[in-house]
Amino acid sequence: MRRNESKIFSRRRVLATSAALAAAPFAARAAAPVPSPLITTLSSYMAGAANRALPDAVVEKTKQMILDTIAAMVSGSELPPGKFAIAFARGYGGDKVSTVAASDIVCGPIEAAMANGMLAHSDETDDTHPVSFTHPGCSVVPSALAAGERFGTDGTRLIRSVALGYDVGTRVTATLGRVNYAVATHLSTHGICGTFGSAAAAACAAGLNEQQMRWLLSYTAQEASGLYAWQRDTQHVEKSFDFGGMPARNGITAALLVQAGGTAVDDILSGADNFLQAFMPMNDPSMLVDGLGTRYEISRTNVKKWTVGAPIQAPLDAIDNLLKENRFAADNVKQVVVRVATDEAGNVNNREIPDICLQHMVAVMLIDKTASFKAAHDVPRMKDPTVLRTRAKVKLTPDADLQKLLPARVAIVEVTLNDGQMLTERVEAVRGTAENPMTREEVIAKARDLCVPVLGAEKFQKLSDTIFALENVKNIVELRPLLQKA
Amino acid sequence: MNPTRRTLLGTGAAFAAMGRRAFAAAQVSPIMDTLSRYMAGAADRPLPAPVAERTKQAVLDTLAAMISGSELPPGEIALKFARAYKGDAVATVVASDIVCGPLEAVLANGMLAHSDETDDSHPASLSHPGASAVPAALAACEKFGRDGNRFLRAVALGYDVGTRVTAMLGKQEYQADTHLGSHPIAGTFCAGAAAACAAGLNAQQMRWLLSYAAQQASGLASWQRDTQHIEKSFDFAGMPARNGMTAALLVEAGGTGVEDIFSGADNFLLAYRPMHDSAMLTDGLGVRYEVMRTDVKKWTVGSPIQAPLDALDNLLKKYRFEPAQVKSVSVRVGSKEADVVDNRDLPDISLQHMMAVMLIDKTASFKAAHDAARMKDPAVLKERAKVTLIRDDELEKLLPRRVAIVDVALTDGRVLSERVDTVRGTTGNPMTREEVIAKARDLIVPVLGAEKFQKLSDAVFGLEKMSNILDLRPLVQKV
Repeated sequence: MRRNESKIFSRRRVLATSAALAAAPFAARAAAPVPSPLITTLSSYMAGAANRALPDAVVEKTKQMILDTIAAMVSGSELPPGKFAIAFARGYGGDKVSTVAASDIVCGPIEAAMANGMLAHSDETDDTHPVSFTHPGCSVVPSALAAGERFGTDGTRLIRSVALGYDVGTRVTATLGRVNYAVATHLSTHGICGTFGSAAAAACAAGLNEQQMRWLLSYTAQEASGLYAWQRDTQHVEKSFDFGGMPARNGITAALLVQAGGTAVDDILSGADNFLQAFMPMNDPSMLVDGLGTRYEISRTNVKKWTVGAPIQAPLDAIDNLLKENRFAADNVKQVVVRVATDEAGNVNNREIPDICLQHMVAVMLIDKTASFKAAHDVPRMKDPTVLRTRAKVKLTPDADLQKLLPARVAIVEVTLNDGQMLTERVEAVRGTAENPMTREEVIAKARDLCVPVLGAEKFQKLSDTIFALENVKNIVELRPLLQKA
Repeated sequence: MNPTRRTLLGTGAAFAAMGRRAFAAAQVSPIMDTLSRYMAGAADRPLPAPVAERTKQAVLDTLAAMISGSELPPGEIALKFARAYKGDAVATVVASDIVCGPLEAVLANGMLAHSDETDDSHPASLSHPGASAVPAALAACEKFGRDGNRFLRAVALGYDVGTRVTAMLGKQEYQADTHLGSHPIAGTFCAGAAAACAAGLNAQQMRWLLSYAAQQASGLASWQRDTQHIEKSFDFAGMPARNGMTAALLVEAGGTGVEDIFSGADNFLLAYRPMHDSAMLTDGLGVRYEVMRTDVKKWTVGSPIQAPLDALDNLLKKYRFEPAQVKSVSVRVGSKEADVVDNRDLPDISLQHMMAVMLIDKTASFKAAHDAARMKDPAVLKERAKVTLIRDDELEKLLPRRVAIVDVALTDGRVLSERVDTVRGTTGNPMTREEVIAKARDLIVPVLGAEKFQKLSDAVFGLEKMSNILDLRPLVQKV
């Protein structure tokens, strides 16, 4: 050890660690020589990812996630956090290395990853991963993209980088204990997962070897941060940083540092003051590597079909189903009762902006027969008398029984028509979730809704085609003209 | 960071004492209100003269650490990093010809500053504030075209805010209990406050800044296990400087955030569970300037070697003896301190080697502290053989004060004894401006040359006359 002021601090109080940690086989190995079997498994897996083919279904799903995230970024560029992120990148742009989407900015990879991360979580249109209580795409994709451009990787490598990012990041916070962990510790699973996911993705693009992957994890663990206080952010600018910008910046920084020759602690998952001791996961640390190469977390990632707050999705699915089956008009509706889990109801009950206001969005869907991105962000329409008249018919009922089913977001919608007829629909699995996945076509349709207003139909089509043929892309810099506004 | 720790640390009482109900009405807690106002006012509030003086010394001292660090492996990595990813020509990377984006610049400058252990330290918070506060203040002042006065104030504010955070958390004991790194946490807040001051944020923006900074507060005590010092330079300085700078740039660019990250649901104190009353965050603001309680490392060697070198330096000045006259040298330091520096493989952390070097050179230069080849020099080995390191349990009890007793037995039978109770450069025994300049000269001249060093030193001590901080650029760069 080069410098060790530290040994004077070694009088460590023995901490009564959680049962979960004590039960871990890990604790017994702490004294074993580094690197531990755990990190050896993880780092060798990570190092191999660049050259390991993914199963076809994973490739397909990854493309969808990339397009979906790009769609979130492109559409986000016209919302305040996205505008803000672009202004930020313009002010602090670096060498012409990495693309900032929906702009004409090409800048340094750190700024680009950060700006794209904020773009991707400008709204809530980006993907989610319930098992880890995270939004992996909004940091992993920007990081993989910026690093991929920096290193001139091909389309295949981009796909692998992204998938690795999901696999590593989500496992970290699944191990920590997802929403229960956030509640108990006040820490942000989103910030932590995104940092690890982005680092893994960028590291894959950079082509780091096994030892470098271990170092990468140490840099990444040093950067792992975030408070659950993001819930209190009202303007969503900070939240876009907390979820997307910060973790993407963290992850790509770690990868760039290691790629540039940085060394670090060899095993941050064992030994003194390791990540697990500091963060005290609720679950067995072996979850960090469980199913690697078998269970691809990107496959358990949810796409948001309706670009609205999560608790509103199942109710919109239910109404969408009812409208398709029964073809009734808004004027025919006497009352709509929406039941969702108690906590969920609290988040979307008569909120001030359209996309997180359940009553408003239900009214919009009754009128429009769909719920577009535009409608979800049309604030003036919240005062439209037609909408208000329909909205008055919508009753939100917190349901304690549905609460017990969380994290499955189940909704029951009861529509009473003027003629007395009662239509009921229960949605067990929201469309777009792993249990009820959207098709490629549905994903493209959603992306089209989000991208065309910004980039135009022609460019969107090329972009969509290119993403789904990424294997033919020799250098992902080719994506740049398709992502940018000239 | 687990619920079990809450009961162990029991911060509930301290937090409750803040008077939760009172600030529920005002939206912002009294502590936050005080802190953010103070921070917002710092740009226009003159510093007391001794504080300004001390701040200049800290600035120069940190620049010296950065510049000299440029030729060590972490510094080389930092420069390589900045060169590869440089952005707009906004911010200076010292000891190079790089002018790049502020994020890369602070990351690189922070790593440069902690390339070695020559940068300053603040024992009351277990942190190295200069290595993050100065790079952040410099880059932000360049970005926003601020003058020398603003630069000084920004740096001082950085020290005042960042160190209070980890002093409140509980420094060594906190780090041992939580496995978290106090250095990066302090540094993130240091850099955030410094850059924010340079940017000219108002009180509300300062509150947002603190939320962004809290979101980025990270770091593990595992830095202690880093052997190459590259990660450590990132952990202590590059990362926190980047974090703080990011927070300030975001808020300056219009970013909004959580209004009060020190109260309310899921606040910083709930998550980090300080061992001390949260009132410490604002205690003595405007009165007790933490830059004043910051230690300068006179000898650029491992901490446990400093008091012994001071003692030998004192003896050499008093008695003017030559190595040939020395029969033996015994050095007593705290037992655990002794373990850290006992015949180590690198010169600057090997007590026996550094004592031998000082016997021969009559000083212990930065060059000597990093001259690994000299560890095999027969002349040095001859003196080193005379040096005995004694683990002293009594001195151990005095920690964190690092006391040393050095006894030099001469060939004529005399035994010269010197006890150093307070290391030169620490708060209790501060270095003079001249000593700080002398140390900086030792570190900078080999890289930038004597002439440039003199101009730089003069410019730093005349910062009040500098109308734009950009004037510093040619003085800190190699062109």
